[in-house]
Amino acid sequence: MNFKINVSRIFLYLCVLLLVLYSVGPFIWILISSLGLEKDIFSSSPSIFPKHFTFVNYTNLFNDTYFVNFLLNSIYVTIGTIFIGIVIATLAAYSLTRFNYPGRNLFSIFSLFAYMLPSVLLVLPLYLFAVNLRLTDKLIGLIFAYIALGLPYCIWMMKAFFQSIPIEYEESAFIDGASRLRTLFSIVIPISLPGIIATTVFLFVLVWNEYLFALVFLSSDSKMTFPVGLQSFISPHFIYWDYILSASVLVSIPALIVFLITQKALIKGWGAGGIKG
Amino acid sequence: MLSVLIVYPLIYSLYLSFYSQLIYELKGNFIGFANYIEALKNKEFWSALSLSIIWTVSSVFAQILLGISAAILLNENFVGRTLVRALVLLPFFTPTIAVTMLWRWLLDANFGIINYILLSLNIINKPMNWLGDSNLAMFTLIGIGIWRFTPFVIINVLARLQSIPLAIYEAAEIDGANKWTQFRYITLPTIKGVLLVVILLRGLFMFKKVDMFLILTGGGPGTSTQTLPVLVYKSAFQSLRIGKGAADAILTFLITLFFILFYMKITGKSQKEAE
Repeated sequence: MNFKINVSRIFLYLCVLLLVLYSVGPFIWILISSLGLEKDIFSSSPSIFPKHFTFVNYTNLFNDTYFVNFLLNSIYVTIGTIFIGIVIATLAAYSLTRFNYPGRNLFSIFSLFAYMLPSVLLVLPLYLFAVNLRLTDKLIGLIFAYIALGLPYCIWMMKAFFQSIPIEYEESAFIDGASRLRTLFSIVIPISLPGIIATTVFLFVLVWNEYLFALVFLSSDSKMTFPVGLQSFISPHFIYWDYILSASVLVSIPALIVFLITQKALIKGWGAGGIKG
Repeated sequence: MLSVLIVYPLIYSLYLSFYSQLIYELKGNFIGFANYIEALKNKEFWSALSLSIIWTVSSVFAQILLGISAAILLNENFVGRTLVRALVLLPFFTPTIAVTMLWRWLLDANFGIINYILLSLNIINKPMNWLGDSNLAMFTLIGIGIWRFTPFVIINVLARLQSIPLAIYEAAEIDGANKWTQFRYITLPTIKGVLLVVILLRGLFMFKKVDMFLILTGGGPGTSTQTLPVLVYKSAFQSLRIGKGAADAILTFLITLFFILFYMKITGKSQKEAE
């Protein structure tokens, strides 16, 4: 009996080990490769422990390429989108839950609907818009596009949070003489902070990852965000693996930090559809 | 105002799809359904549609199978469970470009570790060109898609599994139910609801996926990985025929509409039940 339990425990741990290797192994390999010397990376017999550990690929990446530019552009676009997006989404969602006007319910359905549209469908009209407004190849144009892309879903998320706040809190604030805006800022927003954080994370993941719009909107090297910029390390004749490997590691770090901070809440269950894929 | 933001792009695409507009033109000529007729007559469209279906069905199917198995495993009690749960989600939270570059490196025909391992285990006898061989490329992309998106299934199924009281399994065990019977009669009925939603969402997201294809193969070699969204991109931004691209996009949209409406129907239903 005891023996049987042990066998099944060992089997369980073997399965867990396999699962972890499957999920994490590729990351470990790219990390090791990125720390290796060029001659080791491209050796015909890769070894798990490179002979030399070096940061030379990283320093080269910073000194010899546009990488810093790409990264700064991405950070600028991400912060811009989150800031504008959250302000609009908060106000819009608040109005949707607290005021009554025709088409209110229809709007929420549309929000969810818009989130599910194929991005290739949205990129065509938004690109023509940007052309007409002379916003192509400008980061601000990309920010507007991302807001258009992410806003419907943000409003939908924020709305769910606002709905969970009992309206009595606000009513008592009104009775005490607070204005509508004052109530919003000192009562509703502090309570719905988790919702705002969740929405921020959603926008971060959306913008930090986004490839298609950046590819279509941006054309000059100095304007590119990293998802497009990294591709410039691949030329028809040569692939700059040393740059690609170290850059891939670096751009993953912010995403992983955000993930580590939020993963507890995630596993508890944002529920199906709470996150983009 | 906000509804305009959502509806307008859709209407505008529909409008574009009836015009012969090129991407650098401000205005094209009205040509009615010509773009649609061209699309539907063209072999390219049907090959893209069938590739999209192959891609979506096989990758979602595998994600669900793997995701349920992993979620059940992660619901067991073992040392380091919290850490493992976090690690397993990594592929999903790493930026797309990093994941695609990562796999491109692992699969590289000359320096890739995967070829090296398979060669030294004598499973293959010459290096495989995983992304550059038209017979292999779709298969490879499906594999990467499974690896990247299975965590989405794990998160959702695991969240549901955690709500099942252990006492139920213990009672079943006392009654002599084996693991499979427990899965069949306790686990499966409980996760059925969330599973349906997850299958639909995954189906939808996989169907409209375009970035992975553009980065890794660009629809090639030839047209062997040219799914519908890739076709839209190519019509609009490589052939520069934005009108034709819009028509392709509307056709793609009509297929995703099926997923969307179905999703709204079941979530609407469960919301009403909850109320």
